[in-house]
Amino acid sequence: MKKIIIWLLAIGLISGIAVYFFVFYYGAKHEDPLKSTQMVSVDAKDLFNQYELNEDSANKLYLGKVIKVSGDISDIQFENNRYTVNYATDGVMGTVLCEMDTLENPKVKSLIVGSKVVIAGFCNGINMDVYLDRCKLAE
Amino acid sequence: MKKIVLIAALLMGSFAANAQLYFTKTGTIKFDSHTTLEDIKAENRKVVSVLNSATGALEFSLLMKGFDFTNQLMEDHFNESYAESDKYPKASFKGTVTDIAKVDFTKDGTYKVNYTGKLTIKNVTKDVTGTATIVVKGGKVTATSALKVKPKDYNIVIPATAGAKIAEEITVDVIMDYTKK
Repeated sequence: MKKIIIWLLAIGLISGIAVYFFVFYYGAKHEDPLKSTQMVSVDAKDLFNQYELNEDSANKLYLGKVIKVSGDISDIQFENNRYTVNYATDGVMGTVLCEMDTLENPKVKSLIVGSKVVIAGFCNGINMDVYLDRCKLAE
Repeated sequence: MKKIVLIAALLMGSFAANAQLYFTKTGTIKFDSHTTLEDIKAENRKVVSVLNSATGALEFSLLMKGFDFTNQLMEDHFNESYAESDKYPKASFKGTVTDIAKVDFTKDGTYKVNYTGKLTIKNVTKDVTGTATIVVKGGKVTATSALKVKPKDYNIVIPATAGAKIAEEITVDVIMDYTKK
């Protein structure tokens, strides 16, 4: 009887670990930028200018953080079922790009180039463009 | 800013040499670490790259935080524990396609080429060589290559507890969709 209880406990423990691993590790969903409690708001032109002026300083402020960017749309691209919204900035060869969460596709479809938009996403830094991913429309 | 200066210099250089420059901001780099315990896949779709068709000069750079993993925890582990993306936000390659002359960029075709250069990850630079396929089709140029990268060569320390889940050598697929500048 004792052996059976030990076996049952062991099986229960292993099953628990397996369930935890698959639910919390493999099933860990990406964070929703709109649910971030530490969102920083910035104008798209200011964001790009800060990165152009001093990448290291800008990274300290924004890299990996959720930022809410406001500005005018200069272009919208659609590739591989994913929209990327470009902001109008003063950059000669770069701008601010927001790769949108695919869940936002129906809403992004109705955006118009030239109109104002507020988007929240995770800042990846600058590589010619300041790049945000997993973006969602914030307003 | 440095990148803009670099691109501008490359542009001027290419005009001076009457060369053709091919450029992309939407190149893809993806990797796949396969072990019996776990498959880890990630993709970065915003790689900036320049290829000079006259000299074969080839460069690309990417943001480490731009890698998209299948789930959040894998991504967090990658950025915080392995790539240390806050400290080393970029990776880059600078090299040359050594036999670029055999590629006819004016007509459709598929060409196998060789390249050599320096790959920098986490501020560690290593010489790399490899083969790539360049496809010219309808004025567009696509270059693909599979690089073998050993994380430990780039100071990517994998703890023993995670060692069994991460391959010693990772295949990095590079896919660049160039357009003429």
